[in-house]
Amino acid sequence: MMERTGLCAECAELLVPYIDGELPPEEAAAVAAHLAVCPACSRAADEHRRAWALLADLPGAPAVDSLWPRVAARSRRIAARARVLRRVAAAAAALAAAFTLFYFVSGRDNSAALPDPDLLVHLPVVEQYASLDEAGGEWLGEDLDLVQAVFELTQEIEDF
Amino acid sequence: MKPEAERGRELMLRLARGDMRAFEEIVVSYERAVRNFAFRYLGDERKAEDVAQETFLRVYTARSRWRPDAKFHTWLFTIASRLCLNAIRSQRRERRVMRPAAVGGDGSDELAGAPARRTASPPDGVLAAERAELLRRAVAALSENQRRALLLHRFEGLSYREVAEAMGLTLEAVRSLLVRARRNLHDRLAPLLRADEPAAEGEEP
Repeated sequence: MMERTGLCAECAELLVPYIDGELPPEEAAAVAAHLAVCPACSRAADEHRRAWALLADLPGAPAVDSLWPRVAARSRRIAARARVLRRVAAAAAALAAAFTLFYFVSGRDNSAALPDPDLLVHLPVVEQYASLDEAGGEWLGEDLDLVQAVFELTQEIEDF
Repeated sequence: MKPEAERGRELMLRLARGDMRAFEEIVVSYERAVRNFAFRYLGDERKAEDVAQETFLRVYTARSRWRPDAKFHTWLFTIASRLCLNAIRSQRRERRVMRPAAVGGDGSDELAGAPARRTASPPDGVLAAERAELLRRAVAALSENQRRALLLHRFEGLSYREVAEAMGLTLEAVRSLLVRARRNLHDRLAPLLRADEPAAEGEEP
């Protein structure tokens, strides 16, 4: 069908972007000029156009009820979870600040006297997760394990 | 900027401020397009619906990270397209577990080839349903990247540059994917192209 020689071979690579209007102007002009004198390429271009037009008949998804009620319910749950996490982070940060202040004011050695080094090590994690959630970060399976650990940690903070 | 792009942008800005009415409008306005895209890509109604739901939830969770200079439509389909790819991968894993033998394979060739053997029959012999099935199989036979590029460009109206952005590829790679997609569609679409030809050479009275 298409002569794969000289300019025609090159044309084969350019015809699709040409009919899609995606060639830079100079290249598009060169292809147009070639099509005017090359019946084979001109036929090929026409066939591309018709192939693209045919695709319009590719069936889409069958009509169903709107997804909105389900999406709305799930997004509300996400928002609720984010609020809890923000509260946890705020409480943890406040607690850490209070401890620091307490030891600073009482003149005791800050680093040695902090109650639970483990807890403080985890504080940045709590804060990080709260800000990740706030920023709409994506959650993975291992994140969820960490979140669980964070909630347990909160419990510890409250019990302290 | 086109009105459509402007509208998506405006809705996203309202959603970023916590306006749930804007979110509802986004879902209602774009769900059809996202479901169609996922369905054409995955060929499974149920999975397409899951992908669409998940796409909108990602839009919601990413609402404050969205940059107003990003085109909403492109961004939406970037998400949908990634989720489709994930769905295809897990589908493939499921299939490997459930049915070790290849699915489709010969059967699809058989069906797609069938009308080609009946080129002597009149063009209107290709019924609408048969035509749809032929197109579906032709597109399903493309590589995943070719299919994604084709659907994003031909159905969602993304420019090559936007497709490149959505797929994380270079402009050159997208161009090449579409050229190859067109070439691969050639044989499978041939019966339809012949049927549509106004006056094929040698067949004129």
